[in-house]
Amino acid sequence: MEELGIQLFIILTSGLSILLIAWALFVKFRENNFESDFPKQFLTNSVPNLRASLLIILSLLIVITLTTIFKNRSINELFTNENLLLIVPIVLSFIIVYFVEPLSRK
Amino acid sequence: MIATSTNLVPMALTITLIVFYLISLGVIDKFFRYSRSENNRTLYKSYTITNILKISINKTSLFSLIISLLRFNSILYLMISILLGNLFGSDIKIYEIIFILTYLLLSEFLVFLKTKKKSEINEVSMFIMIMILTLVCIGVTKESLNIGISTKVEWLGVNVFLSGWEIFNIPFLLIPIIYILVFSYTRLLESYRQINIKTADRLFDFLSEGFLYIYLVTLFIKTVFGGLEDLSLTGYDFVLPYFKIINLTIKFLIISIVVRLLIRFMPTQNNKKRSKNINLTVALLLVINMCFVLYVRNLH
Repeated sequence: MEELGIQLFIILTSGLSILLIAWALFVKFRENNFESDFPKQFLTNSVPNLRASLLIILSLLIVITLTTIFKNRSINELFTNENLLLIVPIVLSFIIVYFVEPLSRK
Repeated sequence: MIATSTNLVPMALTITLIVFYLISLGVIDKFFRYSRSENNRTLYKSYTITNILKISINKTSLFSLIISLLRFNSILYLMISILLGNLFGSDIKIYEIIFILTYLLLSEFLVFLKTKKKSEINEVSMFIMIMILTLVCIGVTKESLNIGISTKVEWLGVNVFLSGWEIFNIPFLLIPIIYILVFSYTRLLESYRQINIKTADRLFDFLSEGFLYIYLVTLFIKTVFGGLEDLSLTGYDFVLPYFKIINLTIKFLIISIVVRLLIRFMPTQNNKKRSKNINLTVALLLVINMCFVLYVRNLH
């Protein structure tokens, strides 16, 4: 698939997404307007068991993904774009569930 | 392969195809809409382009935006890889059950992180369960983890038209497949309506749902609806990528129209006891059907 330019495409779309997030942050900081972020409520807030099980599942997922990716691979192949498309969302969801949710409850 | 000589031609063709499919989904929805009442019309009347221009970053929650963008990127990769693999390449990795399920589970998990109602959680978990079961059923009947391999229909001759359509071996699989496609199309229409809220994450949600629907249709065309080479248009078979594109487009449009009509004519009332009985019967018939196919295959 590499010869069909898919890697370039992934880099392009991910780069644009990061730029968009950075721009959103910039706009929010400039106007000092975080109203839409604070009242954001996740459903998992109301169900503590669900949150705990989510944390367990996510940490297991991180371990499994990392071991499957490490297996039979050299370090150069570890951070290919395809792997990053899987690792980044999983790690970020873990961060959201673990750190951000308790903040949003206040 | 004429078009694979440069990198840009396949990619440009695929992106054009995706835009065409998204537009055609909108057109199909416009023609086969259920209700023409005034109330419904006002919901759809707000035009997409003006709504996109009115999107406000200040109204958008950063968490939602990040989750939507992650989902958008992974589904985009999934869809582009299956379209490129189908039309121009020969990579078998994209049909591995594990590969497909990893990305689908990830995308549904990101949807789950954004849900606010318990009914939505039930829908997401139901969708994922049926998706896993359907893929496993296809894998079992094909006796392979790679569900993209072509098999022949046991009760049709080798060179007969439609002899590569796995769905004729296991007709009961049509019910979960229809459920998956109807669910995905309904969610696409719902997310289209939610662009009205004018937050950036809703726009990316809408695009992700569209890509997911296109991906699922392409996947099912490749695995159970005969692949991309069976409709023989005489005289054009030698230009392989273009022939495949025509083939895929015809099948995609037919399936989309059928799915849209099903959404229109399906009963909206849900009787839980009755649906439980139906589900059990379908599951039982599916298992019997699969055992029969496996038995016949292993006879040869």
